[in-house]
Amino acid sequence: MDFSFSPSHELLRQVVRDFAQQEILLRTAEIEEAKHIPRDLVQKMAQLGLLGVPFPIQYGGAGAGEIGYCILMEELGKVSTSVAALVGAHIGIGSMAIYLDGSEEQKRKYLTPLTRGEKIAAFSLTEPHAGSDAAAIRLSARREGNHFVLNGSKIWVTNGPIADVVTVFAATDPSLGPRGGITAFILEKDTPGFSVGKIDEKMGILASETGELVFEDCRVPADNVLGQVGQGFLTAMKALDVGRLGLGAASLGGAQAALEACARYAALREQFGTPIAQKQAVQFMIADSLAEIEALRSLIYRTAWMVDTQQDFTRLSAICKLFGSEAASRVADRAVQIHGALGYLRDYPVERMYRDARIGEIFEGTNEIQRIIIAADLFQEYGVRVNP
Amino acid sequence: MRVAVVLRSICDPSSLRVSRGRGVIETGRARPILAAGDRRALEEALRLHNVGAHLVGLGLGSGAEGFLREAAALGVDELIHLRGEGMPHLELDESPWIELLAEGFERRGAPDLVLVGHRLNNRRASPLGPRLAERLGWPLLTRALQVEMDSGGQVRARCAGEKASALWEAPLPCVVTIEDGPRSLYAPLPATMAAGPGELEVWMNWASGNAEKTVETVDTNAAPEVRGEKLAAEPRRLAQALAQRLRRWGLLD
Repeated sequence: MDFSFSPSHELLRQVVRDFAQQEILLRTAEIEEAKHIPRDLVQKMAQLGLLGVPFPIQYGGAGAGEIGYCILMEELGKVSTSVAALVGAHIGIGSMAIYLDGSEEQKRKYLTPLTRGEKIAAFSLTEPHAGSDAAAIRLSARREGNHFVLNGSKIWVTNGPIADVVTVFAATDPSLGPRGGITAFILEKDTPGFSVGKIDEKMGILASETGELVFEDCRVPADNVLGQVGQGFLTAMKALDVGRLGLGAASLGGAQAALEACARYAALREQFGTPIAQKQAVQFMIADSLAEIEALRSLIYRTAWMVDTQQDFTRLSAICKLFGSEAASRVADRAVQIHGALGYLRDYPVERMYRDARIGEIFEGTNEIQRIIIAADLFQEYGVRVNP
Repeated sequence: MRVAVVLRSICDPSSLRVSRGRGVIETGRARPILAAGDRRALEEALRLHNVGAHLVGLGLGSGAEGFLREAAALGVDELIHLRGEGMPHLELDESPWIELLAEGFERRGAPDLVLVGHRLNNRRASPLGPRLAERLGWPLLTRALQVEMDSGGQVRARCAGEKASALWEAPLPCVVTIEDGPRSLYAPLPATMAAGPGELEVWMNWASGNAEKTVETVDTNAAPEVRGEKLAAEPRRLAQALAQRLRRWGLLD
């Protein structure tokens, strides 16, 4: 066994860490206050090649694979969950769906500008009536000659308001259900009949832009069908499998940052004549957090290695997302507790970390859905088919 | 025109641990970082590279491998690593490193211009630039904000002063120390992952008389992921890695 990173991945981490610490962390307050990620920052990330890290060089990526993507998400998660959410939606699911199931022509036309950061991607599956029950989507796609006509809406679309390219899932034949009745499309933002609304007043990840997409007789060329007609649900699940791993890595970064913040504070804050780091109550919280973080780190990079070596990783990526997001919430909760009243103040980063961590348990498949995926995968070995 | 830039590896102050009991600063688990002033020097060197200079990166200290890889990803043409058993931390004593640099230049050929950060860290000016210039008998320009070289063998630098900057000129060869400034350059990530074949020359322990053993050439490429005998990488790098192994095993000339 070899748990070391390659020199290239080490350097990638160093460059991303330097960039994140110097270009993002110092602007976190400004970014959260503005409730959007400044365009100049997105442009800098694009120039660095950060928006195409896992994808092959021939499509404009850095060729760093899933290990590189997890390094990226971990380092971004340390400084800003909002920025990690933008990158996760752009790379992990939006662009990833095109990379996994796009034709060579679609990859050249859409994936390359996305990996270079010339365009931003989003992934839209959830609808007002189809959240965890993703197979129940109602956005309809009716074939008319060389086009499909889309009608309906999508909601909770990360990057929706800023995306140039959206991966959209629509029902082409509702009678067939998810296996055969859902088709994936690549949609350009200027397509007539397509409009976007921004959802504000979220609890956390304030700078990540979340949108509602509306389709009114929106005509999408048949050439923009992603994969095969009727196979869109499979495309969505494959992309989400990869995306969940990235979310787990971002949770790892967020948890690490929360742990470092409260350990620093505990070493300085004195009560009863000694630093509170001397108190067992605090030590136990710190130790529990570190144990969870180290377990998560091993899980994340083992799973990333499995992705890069083409092994089956569906179960493990769901575990990464489930365990990672809940561990991050627990660590952030302990960080607030160790800070006491100060942890409840907006002036202290742990307050933001606590709010930001919570979304990890909800988006890209709630943790309840992750538990179903994990259990279903396990029960397959026992000949039991689990129905959600 | 050959321009050498000094890249010193120092301990990340945030990773140092103070042992109250033993009354010492523990450096064992410290993370090496590139001295901030040298990063600015590298940025200035790359500007000269863009107008035709041949760049040599001189990495000082055992933690400099990473910076040399980063320098390669940024476009530095030639990489030299200075290291050695018994060499002191740069923060403690730069003298042996200055001697190693000077002897290296005498043995391997001196550059036309040496750029080095004015400060080693945030606290104090570094003696490396002035003392290297003295050791080599070269002119010195300090606290340069911007450097230009002309075809007539002169270097021109706008240098920071107490209240204003001033333009200074000196004949080549010359040592120039670069003033601190905000970082503006990061190695593009595709270049960090797809670093081409490269060689890293190592200078070590000339000062202690081990000159015959001290020059070696090693491969600085990112080794592709190796899992047992399975190699996974982009096709070009995969082919390089395979050829490297075949040569090592004597199966390929």
